[in-house]
Amino acid sequence: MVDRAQLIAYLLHQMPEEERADLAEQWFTGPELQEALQAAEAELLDGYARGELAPEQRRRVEEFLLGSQTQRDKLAFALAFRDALAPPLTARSRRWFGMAAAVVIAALAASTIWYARRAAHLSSLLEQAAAGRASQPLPGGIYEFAVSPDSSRGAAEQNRLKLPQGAEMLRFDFTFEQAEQAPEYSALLSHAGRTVWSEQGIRGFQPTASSGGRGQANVVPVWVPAKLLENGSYDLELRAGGRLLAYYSFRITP
Amino acid sequence: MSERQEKSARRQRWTLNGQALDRLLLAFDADREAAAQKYEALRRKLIDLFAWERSESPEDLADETLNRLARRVSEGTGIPNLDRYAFGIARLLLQEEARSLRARTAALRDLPLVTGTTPDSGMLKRIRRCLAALPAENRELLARYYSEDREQLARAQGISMNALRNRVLRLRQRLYDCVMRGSDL
Repeated sequence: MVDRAQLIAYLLHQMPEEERADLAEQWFTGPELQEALQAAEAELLDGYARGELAPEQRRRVEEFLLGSQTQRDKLAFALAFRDALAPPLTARSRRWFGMAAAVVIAALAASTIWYARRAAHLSSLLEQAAAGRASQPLPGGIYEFAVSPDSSRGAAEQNRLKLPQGAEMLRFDFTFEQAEQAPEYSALLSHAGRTVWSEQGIRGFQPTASSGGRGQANVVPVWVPAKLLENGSYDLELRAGGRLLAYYSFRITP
Repeated sequence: MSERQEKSARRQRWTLNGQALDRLLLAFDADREAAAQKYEALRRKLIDLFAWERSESPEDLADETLNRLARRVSEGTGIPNLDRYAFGIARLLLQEEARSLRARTAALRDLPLVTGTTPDSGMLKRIRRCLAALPAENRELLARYYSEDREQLARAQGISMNALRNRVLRLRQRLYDCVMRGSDL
């Protein structure tokens, strides 16, 4: 009797090669296991499309299940399936890799010297977020709103963002515990399975206590050009040393 | 020409023709329609096998497996179990592919982790069309399964979690077949 865990281990190459070869022969020449494997694969791809997989499982799906066009077509189906069922979805809280995490999103309207300003604005923005003054316009065309940690890992439908008029940059602040810190991070934004933007060499910082920082927490600010964001679902990944650290799904609404 | 080269050249010269295909279908089943279904089922199984073994082009390898199987049948090789025999050919092809990949020094790990898919709006339209063809209660079940607490949903439906999961995944598979293969729901 082959259980679901074994089927997933087979698909994600997490069993000894000899055992895997035996299982391959068993499902190929037997009557029932192919359907069970297809179901397990569908669940993995649905989980991937909805951002519900743990980082290691997500990495393995990418490594072992998305290597051919055939497989990417299956993912395309899972993504479209997710979107087709999107309207009735209701929020459901999910964990975010077991990390204490928070996301603050800020929109920056000023188009000039935004990069130089980011550090200066950051502590102010964090202060505002910590003080709970979300969704309030701030001087200089910058305003922000906070997303609770529970929703940071959920399906895009949970995290609906409406871009403010004239916004040029969106900032996503990922907050990590000390154990998850890295010298540099990279971010990747994808839409419908396609990478639409990426950035390397992002550095985190420790917010000061006065700005609402949480002891040894590390904040990684990711600035995304708003012009890339049309209405639809997006996935923002944060990586360090090739390892997926965090993942945030959101939906831009009109 | 060495024996190995000759064998390889002979293999390359052989191409599937109508007669060989007829013999292969006959080996599947005397009834032509049933034979075609069995052929297609085996092809899908081969595609899954190659895909789960990380082949770059599962369809091509599945077709190559079937070609080689057809050739054996047309040469008069007695094959009691076509699936098992096809599995043997597939394993050989996987070994050939692995050798060929090893020979190619281009490091696959340098390729982007995910090369991306493009679920065009056409696919979303097809899914919506297929969803619309499902009975309303099935559509509702799918929507609720992917958005609500599944244990509660199973209780509300009066079935076990496992039964709920199987029901939803069968519906999803029907939808997949409708979208990707144009089959009726």
